[in-house]
Parts: sequence; structure tokens; C-alpha cells
Amino acid sequence: MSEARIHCFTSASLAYLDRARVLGESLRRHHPDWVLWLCLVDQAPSGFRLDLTKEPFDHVLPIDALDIPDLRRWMFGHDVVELCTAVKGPMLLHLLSAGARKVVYLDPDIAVFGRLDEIEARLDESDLLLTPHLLAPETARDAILDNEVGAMKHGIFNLGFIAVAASAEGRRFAHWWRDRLLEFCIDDVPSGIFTDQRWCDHVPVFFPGADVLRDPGYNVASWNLTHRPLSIGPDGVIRAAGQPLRFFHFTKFNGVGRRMLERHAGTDTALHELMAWYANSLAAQAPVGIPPDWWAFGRYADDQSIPRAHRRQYRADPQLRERFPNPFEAGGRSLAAHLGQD
Amino acid sequence: MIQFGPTGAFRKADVTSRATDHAERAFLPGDPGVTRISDQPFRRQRIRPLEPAWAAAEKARATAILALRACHTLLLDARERRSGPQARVGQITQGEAPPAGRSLALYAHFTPHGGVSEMVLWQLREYARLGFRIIFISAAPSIDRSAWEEVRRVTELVLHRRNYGLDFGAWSDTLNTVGHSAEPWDELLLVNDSVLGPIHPLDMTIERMRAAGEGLFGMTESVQHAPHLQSYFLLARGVAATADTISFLRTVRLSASKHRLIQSCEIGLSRHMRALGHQVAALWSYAEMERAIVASEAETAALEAMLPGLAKQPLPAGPARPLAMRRALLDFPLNPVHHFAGLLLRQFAFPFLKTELVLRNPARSPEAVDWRELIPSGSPVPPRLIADHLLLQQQPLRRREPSLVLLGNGDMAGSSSAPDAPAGSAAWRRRLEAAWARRHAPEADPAPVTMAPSATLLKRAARGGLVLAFSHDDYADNCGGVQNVIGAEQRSFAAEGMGYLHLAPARPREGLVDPADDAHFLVRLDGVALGVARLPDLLAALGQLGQQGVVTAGIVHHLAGHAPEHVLALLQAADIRQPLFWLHDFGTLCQSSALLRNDIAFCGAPPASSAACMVCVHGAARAQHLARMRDFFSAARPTVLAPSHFALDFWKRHGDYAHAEVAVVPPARLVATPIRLGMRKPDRRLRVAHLGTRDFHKGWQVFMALAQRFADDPRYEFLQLGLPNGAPLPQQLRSIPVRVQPDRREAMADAVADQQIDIVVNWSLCQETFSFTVHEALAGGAFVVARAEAGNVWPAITANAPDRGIAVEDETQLETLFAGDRLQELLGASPPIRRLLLTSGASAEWLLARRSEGLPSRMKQHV
Repeated sequence: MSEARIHCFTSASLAYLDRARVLGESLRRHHPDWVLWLCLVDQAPSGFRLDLTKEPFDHVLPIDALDIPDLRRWMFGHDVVELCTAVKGPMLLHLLSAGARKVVYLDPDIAVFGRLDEIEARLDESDLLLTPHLLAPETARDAILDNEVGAMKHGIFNLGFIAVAASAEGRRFAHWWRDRLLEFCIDDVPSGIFTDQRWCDHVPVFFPGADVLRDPGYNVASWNLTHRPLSIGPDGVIRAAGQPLRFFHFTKFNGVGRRMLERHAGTDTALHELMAWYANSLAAQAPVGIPPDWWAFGRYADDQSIPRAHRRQYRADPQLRERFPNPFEAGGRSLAAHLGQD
Repeated sequence: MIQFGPTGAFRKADVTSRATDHAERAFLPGDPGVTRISDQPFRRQRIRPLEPAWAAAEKARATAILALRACHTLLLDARERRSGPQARVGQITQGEAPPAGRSLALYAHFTPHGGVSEMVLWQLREYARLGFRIIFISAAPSIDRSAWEEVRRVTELVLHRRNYGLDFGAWSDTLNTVGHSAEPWDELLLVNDSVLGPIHPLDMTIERMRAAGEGLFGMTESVQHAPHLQSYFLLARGVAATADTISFLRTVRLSASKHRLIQSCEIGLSRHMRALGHQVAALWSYAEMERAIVASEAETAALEAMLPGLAKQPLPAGPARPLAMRRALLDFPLNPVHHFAGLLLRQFAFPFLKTELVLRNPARSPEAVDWRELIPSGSPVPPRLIADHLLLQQQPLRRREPSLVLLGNGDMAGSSSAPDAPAGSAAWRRRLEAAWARRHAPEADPAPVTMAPSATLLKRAARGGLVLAFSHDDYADNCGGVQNVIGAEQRSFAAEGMGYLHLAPARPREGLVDPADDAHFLVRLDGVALGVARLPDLLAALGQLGQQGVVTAGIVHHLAGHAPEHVLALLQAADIRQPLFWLHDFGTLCQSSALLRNDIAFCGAPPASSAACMVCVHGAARAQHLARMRDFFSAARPTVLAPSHFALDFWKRHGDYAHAEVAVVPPARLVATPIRLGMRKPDRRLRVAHLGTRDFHKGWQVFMALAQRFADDPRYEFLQLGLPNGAPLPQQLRSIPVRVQPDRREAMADAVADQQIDIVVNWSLCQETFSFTVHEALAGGAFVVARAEAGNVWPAITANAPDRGIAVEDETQLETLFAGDRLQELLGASPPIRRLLLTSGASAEWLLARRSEGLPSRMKQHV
């Protein structure tokens, strides 16, 4: 592994391959020197083959290549979002252990619009970098409820991005984060857990060498657009709140996220242009041969969809985990039968 | 339904019955049926007082230009006089019609690009039925054999001649060439194909003339310059009158100048015949037509719609109205067949409609736009034949609507592809969506190959050399600034005896095409479409011509739709080493030639690696586009011509392409005249106009929003002058159809003046490389409110009429300007004057000027 270069990874199922590809392409455009990784939290359906020579990634690492104990039982305890998030910890540690000096994680639904040199430079001084959901207080009541209260529920920092140096503190963070994510990466806001994000509220205290990126050009998304209007200059630079846009987070773009963006966009042509480009890029990068709603770990062996309740019960009950070491099986003696799905 | 204004309405069904009634009433026993033309000219052109502040230098410039034009005409006339009529007459073919009777008809025919329409054949048969022996004289460049045979069947003689002196030239040359002039004739009918129809039977017309005795008769009297018979239909009757008419025609001095022809031939013939004591009379005198206008509120309203500035004061209502109308008409020598066309058809059973009225509509008659409505049911020539004839007149200069033109650009090109939505953000949203959707649209099949060009054919046409030109579409079949420039250029080369071979992609496209594609080209030679040819065939033909040194210049107007590699190969085959390359727009910098990012916002041509290009629908292809352009320029090292300094400077800053030399060659320029336009009446609303098509990138949606915002403001009235298509027209706006064509380049400027437009809002979203519309607005005397950052728009205003424009930063400022009183103050401070819009011959003019400077011509320089 080339230690001197930045290693950047994302994690996704095949249903998100279009997003991951757009991320990879946009990152390649601005950082052809970075080493790009895709942690694939999925298995390909028959007839589909991921041709690495045509992908923007240098490496595709399947989830089973990570050092995760009791993998199948562990995977069954998560839905697709939780699992794709939970692998971030093991993947980060995997790359640092393999010799990477600086590792950047980006969500697959991010697109990069400018060079990220500041990240690379800041990691010389800091052990890890985070981007907060919000940089400034809201003033409107609706925005306070949506954004400030929302951040308190889901985490101060948005973990669509994190950058970690291979310093001692960076490694200590990686171990701590991996451990927490292996055990507690679920979407359970009432219990104070929202996958990996709420954990990182502890970071400024637990890891004093962590730093916060306050540049408004990083991690622009629907939750902070009110403070970061976009513009496109004749120099070709897209700006957010007057600063060059580095990356934009198209969260839940095919659903509520796009509606949120459109609500913020109003008559702002720049944001509409970004959305039009992203929608068309996704269409162009859509993988051929992946059935709709495909996720290899989303169904029992008999192709029945796994209800979220089954995952929760299995996760919460040690006896079930003991009794059904392969929870994905179908048939008379399976977990599915036991939980009433036969 | 034909409807005019609030005071009157005509129903189509009324037209025939009223016209017939009137015609019958007009021809009662004992009634002469014709009216002698008046003794004295009683109309003067309304002349504005001289602008006192008119600069002497500009006056001198205008005088010099007029003098140059006059010299040019004199030279042409001298050359033609030396060569004589025999040199102009080519083929003379005997017709099949038997030589019976002593009534002769000379039918002058011309279509710009050949062919004889069914309507013309119908007219010929009609004149034959009415007892005339016909000599058909055509100045069309070519007539196919089948049409020639059809003409021969109904005529006695068919002549093919070179066009000089228009219809008088045709009649004069014929009478000087064939033996018919020596015979005694009872009747001599002089007609041409400048009229559509007949749409009422000709029997009554001829009968009335024949009943009037001997002399010279016409259908309508004109009082422009001097009372005279209009020459589209003249009948000399009686041996003496006929002989004197023939004598006049044989000896009259022809000219290349239309103005001189009118003076010496059209007016001269009436004057000559009257001087010899002949009766010179019209079926419909000017006074009679005028009386009919004054007597009818509906006709008055129709004329007012055509001439908004008809009366100095608003016409009063009630009994005083006819008198006021009559007084107002004294200031106008109007053209009866244009301004009174509706009246003539409705009330006088006038048998024709002038072709010019329908095709060019110089009077801007609202009726002419829907000419089919003027054709009465039961017209001898059905509208279908008239439409076919019009098509032939326009072919190949038929104008396709701009919405079909692929390039989105400033004035210098047509409009973009997406239909524009109503005002507001919806417009750009739909455009944005359309821009991305277009990427997935299936491509049309290329036009099938129809010809293999032969070097022999091209060389025969080359005469004094052949110019090889390329552009993005068929300039004769599409409408736009670039197309008009190319048309003017072709004609300028033709005037110098040089052939002009134009190659356009058979499948117009926005960007460059793959060099591996099987390229098909639309081939047009001297304005005539030859067909669709393949690259290898063209390479072979041009290769032969290149070896013979026939091709003297290469001009690239645009590369869109072409592979630059193919264009380079064709230029090299023709042995052109240093072509001219025009910067009509910024197609060299991006496939979006107007540099409109996602078709909605000017991008400024940032680096291809920029984020802006990344999110732009045109961005993905840009790096390769630039690389191929760079290769083309490096290999061709052209002379780069820009329509403005702005365009050249911008291109140099962003292009970085190899080239031999550069020059700024404006396609038109303004010269101030002493014609001071009348000040607006205090009670008239300010007329605010958008010039040109209703295109998003021309600022239509901003203009529409402005019109909607001030719809209830009694100070303003909003209009669009241009083609009446594109986005829907809201209620607040009135559309005046105006079509700028190669032979009517001043149409828009004239319309601005005629419609008394006070303010033109030019809100182009692109950086205009020239902006014809701003020049047209200033030429027409309008004050221009312009977006500050619109390329050559503001420089054009400051260079030509700095006190006749204001630059506005954004839409908020625009609204503030209209809401306040500043605009009225600015208008009051600078009285409007008309300016001449002088268009140039583009490359032809530049190349010929270079020759005359004695510099080594680049047309054929080997480097």
C-alpha cells in the first residue's frame, strides 16, 4: 500500500453503486492521485459482475474481507443503512493497519466539486477531522426545529465525512469507533443512538487532537443550505456562502432529500443545476443487471424479505443468536420459521 | 374571420359579394370604367426637419456612402449599356401557341432560384384565353425541361435572359431582340409574375379597359413621386398607343437601381404617354381608393392598424372623423397594392395580391399575415396554387422557424431548442430539464445522399474563382444573424463574378461530430441547393479544383455539426492554406456556442476542468471539443475575423488557438441621418418593445415579466417585433410580425421606426458578439435599455448613440427604472433620429478590401 497517498473509501450496497460511482468519478476529477476504495456491503446477483477496470475505484473490498467476528450473525442484526455505516469503523482500521497514513471517508451520496487539499494539510496537524451539520445558529423557528433539534437527535457532526490520520490518537480513535460500531450502530434515536453519528458527539472530549472543519464549502447539504447559498462564477468555481464548494451531500436524493433541496432551492439556479447534473449522473451510472431493491443480505434464503423486527429481535436476544448461527437460512428449522415467516 | 380594430369587422363571406357588387356598380353603361390619372402630384412625402445637431462628419460619411452606391450603379449600368440587350438574352425558343390576333402580351418572369409555378402557368393560360399572343421572358437562373415545355405549350415565344432592369428590362430587351416590335399591334399587355392570383376573374378587368378606348391603362394609380400607373399590369390599346409604348420601351434607359427604374420607366412611361397625348387611366384611381377608405370606419380602422402614426392627432369620433382622416392621408403617398390591398380585394374585385406584400410585407399589414383570409371563396386560382408559388419564390431561401435552429446563441445565430415557458423561474427550469433530456433524444437519420459533385460542374460555376464556405446549417433554409451574413457574403461574391460553394452538415448538431462518422453535406452553389453529398465525393471534386487553382478562398463560419478534421481535409484538398475563420459566436470554446451553462446562464468559458463545466450538460464533451479545435487551428492557422472587438478580445482571452492574423469586421454599421423622428404625443403611451424571437436567452422571459409587472401602468405599452412564434404571447403584449431576410436586412429597423417604438429592452443573457437587435433598435430611433454585461451590446450603444441608451445591472434595477420617472427624462433629453443600418458583404468585403489595399491576398496564399 502506498502510504504517502490519501486513501479514501466509501461503503455501499449494489443498490447504491450509482451513487458510489458518481462519488468516485467526481473525486477522480479533482484528485486523480488519491487511492479510492469501495467497501461492498453486498453480494452480486447471478449474472452481474463488477468490472473493476471500468469502475472509478482502485479497490473493491467485500465486507467479508474485513476482520469482523461472527460476520453473518453480526450482519443480520442490521438493516442496509446500519450495516453500510457499521463497516466504516472496521474499514478505517483495515486501511490504517495496512499502512495508510491518511484516510478519508465519504458517503456514497456525496459528490466532490473541488480539491480537498485542506483536508490533507490539516491531517498533518490534527488526528481527525469532522464536519458539523451546522456552523451557525438558526434564527427561524422552523429551521431551529428542523436543523438544530435535528442535529441534537442525530448528532452534531455529519459522518458523511471523516478524515483520520495514522497518528497514535488517530489509531486510538479508529479502534474505539470500530468497537462502538460493531456493537452499537443502529438507528434508535429514542435510545440516543443514531448509527455512527451520535457516537462522534464524544469525539471533541475523548480525542483532543480532533478538529472541526468550519469551511462552509465542505459537506453542504439540505440541513445547512439556508446559510450556504450556492453560486457559480465565471471562473468556473461553484461557491457555497462565498467559499469554493468542496463537496455536496445529496442525502436521500431519490426521496425526501430531493424535496428538501428543492424547498431550499427556490429560484436558485445553481442548486437546480447541481440537482439536474446529479440526477442525470445517477441515471448514467446506474448498474445494469441489478434487480430493483437488490440487497443480498436483505432476504432469507427463500427470497423472502427480512422484516426489521426480525433483525431487532435477533440482535436483542442472545438465545436466538445462539440457536440460529445462520439466521439467513429458510426452512423448517430456520430463524424465519421460528419468527413466523414460513 | 377578418377583423379590424374596434370600429369595424369584415367577414370572409362578405368579401366576394361586396366586391362583386362594387365592381358591377363601377361598370355601368356610359360609365368610362377607368379614371385618368391626376394632373398634379398632390402628395408629398412627410419630411422631418433636419436635425440641427447632426454632425458634419457623419453627414459626410452618409453622403460618401450614398455616392459610392451611386457610382457602383453607374458602373454597372455603363457595362450593361456597352454589352446591350443581345448579350443579356440567352436562349430563345419557339412556343407552340399559334400566332393569331393582334394582341401581344409580354410576361416577365423571375424566381430567384428557378422553376415555373403552376400559378404562373395558370396566368399564362388565362391571358391566352383572353386573346393574347404571349412572349414569356424568364430571368430565373434555371428552368427545368418539363416546366419549359409547359410554358411553350401556351406561349408563342420563350426567352431566357440575364436579369437586369427588372420587368422593364425584360420587356425592353425582348422588344429589342425579337421581330415582334416591328408589327402593328392593337393591344400590348405588359405583365409580370409579381402578383398572386387572379383571385377574381380577369374578364371584367380586361373588358373595362377595352371599353375605355385607346391609350395606356393600368389597374391602380400610384401618387408616389408623381401620379403614374403601377406596372404589374399595363395594357396599351390602339395602334398608336401601342407603337408609342413599344418605342418607349425600346429606347428607355435601364438601370440596376430600382429607384431609377421607377423614376425613368414606371413613372416615365405614364409621363411619356401623357405627353404624347394618349389617354393614361387606371381602373382604380388613388382618389377613389382614398375616398373608399375615408367613407368606411372599418377601412379607416384597418389602415390605422397598419399605420399607427397615421394622424398627428388622434382621429376624432363622429362626423369630423372622415375629414380628419382625409387630412391625415394628405401626408402619405401610400402604395395602393400594399396599403389598400384589403380594400381593393373587398370592395373593388381587384384580381391580384402583390407577392411582395405576402412575402415581405413592407407595409406591415396585419391582413397580409393571414393572406389566405383575403382570398375569396371561388377564387379562380385556389390558395393551394398560390402557396405553392410562394414556396417556389422562397426556395431555397425558405425560412424555417428559429425554434428548429439548433444553435443557441446571441444575435449571430438562431435560438436554442427548448420551447420557452412563461415568465419567472419556470422558464429556466423547463430549459434546464430540456437541456439534459436532449442528451438522450435519438438522433435523426442523416439526409440520404442525392448527388456526387463533379469538379466540372463546380468549375463551370466558378467563373472568376470559387469560394468554399462552411457553416453549421443551410443558411438559405434557416433564419438568423449568421445565416443573413452568409447570404450577404454569397451575393457579394456573386457580384464580383465569384462562385460560392457552401457546405453544411446534412444533420445539424450542437457540437462536433466524430471524424469516423460517414459525413453527409448539404451542398449549395451560388445559393442553389444541389443536394446531399458524401465526404469522399467532395474530397475528390475539390481535389481536382485545387489542382487547377480554381478555389480562391476558404471560409469557415461555424464548425458545429462538422468534424473539424473533415473541414480541414476539404480545405486542404481545395488547396486553401489560410482560410478565414469567423467568430460569429463562441462555438470554438464550447459546443454551447452562446456559452450558456446548462442552457440557462452565461458561463464565461471557464477551464474545462472546472466545477461549472462538471455540472453543465455541455461540460462532458468540452475538453475534447477544445482539443480538436486546437488541432484544427494549429493545422489551418486561419485568419480570424470577429464581428466586434469584444468578441475578438474575449476569444483571445479564452481561446489560445494558433492563427495567422486577426481582424474585426462588423457585419453592419450605423450611420446617422438627418431624419429626425417626431416627438411622441404627450397622451400616447411609451411603446416598449422586445426585438426578435421570443427566446429565453434573448431575455424574453425578463421582458414578459416586465410587461406583466407594468400591465396596468398607463405610461407603457409593450410589444414584440419579430417572428410571431416561440413562447406564448401574454395578453399584455402585442406582436408585430417582422422578418429580417437577406434582401430585407433593414426590416426590423424600419419596423421600429414605423411602429414608433420608444424603448427597446435588450436583455440578452449571453455575451453578444455583435447584436443586430441593438443596431436595429438604434437605427429605428428607439432608446435602448440594455443589460450591462451583455457583450457587445453596451459598446455598440456607446459607440453609436451614447445618449440613446442606458445600461442596467440587474432585473431589480430594470424594474426600478420603469417604476420611476428617469426613463421619461432620458427620452426627453435625447430626441430620436433615424440611422442607416448598412450591412456589409462580410468575408467578401474584407477580402476585396485587402486586395484593393495591394496587400498580398490571403485568399490563395501558400504558406
